[in-house]
Amino acid sequence: MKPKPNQAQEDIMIKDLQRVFQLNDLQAREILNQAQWNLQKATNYVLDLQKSGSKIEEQFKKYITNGQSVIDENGIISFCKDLGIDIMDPVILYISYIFKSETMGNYTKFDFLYGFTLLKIQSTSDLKRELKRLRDELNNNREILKSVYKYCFDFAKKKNRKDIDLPIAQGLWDTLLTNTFPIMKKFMNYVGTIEEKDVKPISRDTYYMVWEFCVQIGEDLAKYDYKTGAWPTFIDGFYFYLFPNHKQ
Amino acid sequence: MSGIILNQRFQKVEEMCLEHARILKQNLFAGVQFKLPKQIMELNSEILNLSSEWSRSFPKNAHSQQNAKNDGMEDKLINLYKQCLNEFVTDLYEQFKETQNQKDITLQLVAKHYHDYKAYSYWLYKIFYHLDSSTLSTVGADLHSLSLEAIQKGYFKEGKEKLFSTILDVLLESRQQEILLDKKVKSLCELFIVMDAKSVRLKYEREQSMYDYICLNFQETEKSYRDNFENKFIDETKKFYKVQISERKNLGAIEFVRWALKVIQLEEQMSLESYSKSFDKIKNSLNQLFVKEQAQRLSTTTVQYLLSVDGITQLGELYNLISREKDCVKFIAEEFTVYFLSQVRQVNQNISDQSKQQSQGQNKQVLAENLCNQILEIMEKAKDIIKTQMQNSSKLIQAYQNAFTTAFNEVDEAPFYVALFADMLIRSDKGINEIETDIKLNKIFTLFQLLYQRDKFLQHHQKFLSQRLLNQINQNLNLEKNLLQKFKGETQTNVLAQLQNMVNDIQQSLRFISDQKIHKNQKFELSVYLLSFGCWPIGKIQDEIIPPLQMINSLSLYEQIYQEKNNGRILQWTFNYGSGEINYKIQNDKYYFSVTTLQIISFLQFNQEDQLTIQQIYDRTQINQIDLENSLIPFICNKILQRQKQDLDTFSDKNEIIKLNLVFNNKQKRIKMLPHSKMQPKRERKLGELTQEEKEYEEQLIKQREFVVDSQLVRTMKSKKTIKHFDLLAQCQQMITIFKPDVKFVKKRIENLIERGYIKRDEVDCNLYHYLN
Repeated sequence: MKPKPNQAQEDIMIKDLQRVFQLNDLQAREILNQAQWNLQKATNYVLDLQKSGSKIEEQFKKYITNGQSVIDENGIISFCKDLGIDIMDPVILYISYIFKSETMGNYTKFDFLYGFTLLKIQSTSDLKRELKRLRDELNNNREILKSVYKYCFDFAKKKNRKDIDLPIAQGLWDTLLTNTFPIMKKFMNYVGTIEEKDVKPISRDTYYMVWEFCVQIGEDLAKYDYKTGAWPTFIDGFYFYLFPNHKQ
Repeated sequence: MSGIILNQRFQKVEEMCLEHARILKQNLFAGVQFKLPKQIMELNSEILNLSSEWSRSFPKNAHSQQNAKNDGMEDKLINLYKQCLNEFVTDLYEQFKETQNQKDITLQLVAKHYHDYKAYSYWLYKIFYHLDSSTLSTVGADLHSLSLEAIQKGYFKEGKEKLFSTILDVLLESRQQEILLDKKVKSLCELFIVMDAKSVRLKYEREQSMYDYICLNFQETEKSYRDNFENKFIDETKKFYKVQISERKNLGAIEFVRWALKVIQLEEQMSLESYSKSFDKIKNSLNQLFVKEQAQRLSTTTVQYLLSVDGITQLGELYNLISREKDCVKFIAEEFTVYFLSQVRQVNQNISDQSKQQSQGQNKQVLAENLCNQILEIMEKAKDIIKTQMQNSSKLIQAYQNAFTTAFNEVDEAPFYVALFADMLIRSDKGINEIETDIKLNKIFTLFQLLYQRDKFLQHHQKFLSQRLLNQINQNLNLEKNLLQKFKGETQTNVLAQLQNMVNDIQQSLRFISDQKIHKNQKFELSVYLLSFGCWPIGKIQDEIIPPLQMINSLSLYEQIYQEKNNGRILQWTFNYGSGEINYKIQNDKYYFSVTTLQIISFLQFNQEDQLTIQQIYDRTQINQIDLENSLIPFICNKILQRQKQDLDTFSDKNEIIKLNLVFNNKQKRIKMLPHSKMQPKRERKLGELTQEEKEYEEQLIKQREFVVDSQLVRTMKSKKTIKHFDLLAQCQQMITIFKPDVKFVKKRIENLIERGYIKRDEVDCNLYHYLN
């Protein structure tokens, strides 16, 4: 039994796989993990995907315009139309999560190949049928919602940056959290009151901690410890927005 | 010998013994000095003989029972002893019973009884002492204990209520009269102290003619003492004083304090005198009544009042009372804090009002002086009180520090005012009187210690230091160094090293000058300060300025000499600093002008020509417009130069001609012409908004602070590896003394460090951080 590879070795294997196939880091990591970090196994898996995925490829081609290698925003709009969902519908984020898609606004061929295969579907109409199940999963399974939420940070983030702009974070919070956590309604009000000059990007830590805030505190704001708690200052801002007289 | 003969002898002994006992008793009652008759010694030996002969003839063996008829001689003798005792006790008790509730009589009587009984027991013991060892084995108590037992059973047991109330009555009289009265009460108390003791000795002090029971094991008497005396006594005492205190509820606080202290002193004295065993408990009870229950009330009504009317000694009295319970000092401390907080805040308010009325730079000095001196005065007063009246109590010192630190930092510009005040003090110091200088330094340092924003203070201090070092003719380098050394002991920062370098620069420059004597035989006398780059708040070094010919040689000579000693260093001339003197000859008069270097450079251009356009001056010197205006307009205002436009106009027209006033004449031959705000064109400056320079300083400060907090955070994380948020926060705030970082600031830095990958949050516990290498 081969010893588990360390971080550096993993990175090398991911790069190796990417030299042969067009897939992103997340997908490479997941596939290699499944293959117990056996490069050969992983390669075979991908080859199988490609072999059996001709119908999926056709679906993919439906949404690209001539010459492009990836589905762009227009393609996604028509993709959503075919699925019968709004582009702001949270389920599309879930779908992207399953695809392990890298960037918001694009789908690659491998996204489709990989994702459709995982979902055991071949076409968009198949996917449409699965939507109800997916929606239910997203709404009822906290763990899934958490994973999707965390995933969306990297999904929405630009490659050259470590953080995301406030409006984008706003969108994600609105889409993913307001339905499950009632406190988020007030939170969105708070974000709306932030003045132009004070608007700063949201760091990963702050973004993750918003989730923790919803889960640990939620409506029960008496539990919120602004003096000695390790909450980010952005969330402290929300607390002082609700209770201005607690500021010293 | 047969038992019968022995018994006969016993009868004789019995008779004699009882006889002598009675005589002894009568003598004691009469208070007559007595002598032991010779027969006592005979009795003694006879008893011994009886006892030993009996035991020889009738040895006790383990199995034999005591025959009731054939009583052991020893038992008989012991009973005889007991009988003597009991007879005496009975007599005593009869007398005791007869006393009514006349406390004085009872007191006298009991005291005498006790004395007499002890005396009697002692002498009786002398007769019977051979029996001592055997009584212990047969009856379980030695002779002295038996004597104590006798009086306990026959006198004390019945009479203890009466005895107790007598004691109370006597002490009540003491309390009412507020002096210690009868000392005889001590003997009554002694009765209570020794009762129930199983093992005692009776001692005789020949000189004082006193007899005492000495308890060998105090634990035996503890319970009896407590139940019969101590607890009841303390209860009565408490009851008594509770009433007394409530009667005095409307008494003024200081009167109450004085009365309380007197009472306490009296009670303690009484206790030490008569029942010192209970001293601690009594002290605690008194403290409970007079201090613990009164401290808060007394403090809240008096401390602030007394402070405001300078009732210093009364404060001392109050402190004397309340400090009996260490914990209660906190009430005084709280009031202390409140008072001085408000005092300082008043000063702050005054200063703030004054500053709103004026906005000129000049008056800032007055404000700074007022603020600092007033606060120092108040601090002095407070410190003095704590030292002289409150024994430097640590709680008071803490309150003192809290009050002044809190209030002083409420002044927005406190760091600036302290720096300005320091500047004024240092400039006025002639360096002659060491003690005075020390006082000044301590004043500055005291205020420095109060400040939170020490880095801001040092920023200002650096600017003032630079001015002092560069412009003063007699710099006081030692004073500056001493002051910096004091700061160094209080806080850590790189800026202090810079400041020290500044002083060193000047010191070395002066040394270099005297070493080299550069200005010997020069037409242009030059002395140079060599400044280390980066330590001085200089701003832009304008080395593009072209000095006139007369200067160039001296400058080059200096550079040459310096480079010989210090090869490879880069030197730049900062013409925008420095000052000097121009000798001006015109119309057969000689004038001396005190000017800046830039003024020298620009005015000396007129050596070549009598008139120049502004453009020409600029071309030849490269001095910018504003500096040129500041430099030359004073000449214009003093009529040395003339211009086409108005005196105070700007130099915006580059073709304007400036020319020498060839008929210049002034009675004063020495003229100071340094750039002055009254001799400048009017320049726009918005009030309230920070200038560019101030903005830069502010930004620099914030960056420095971020760095300080970051390094402290990283240092802590490196050593602890894993730490809770709260602890990290506390550690950070504790270790940083150069300013006071608030929670939000530290949190933001922690977030920043998380983003930069120095720290990460624990996955399970959001309040836990891990250090990432």
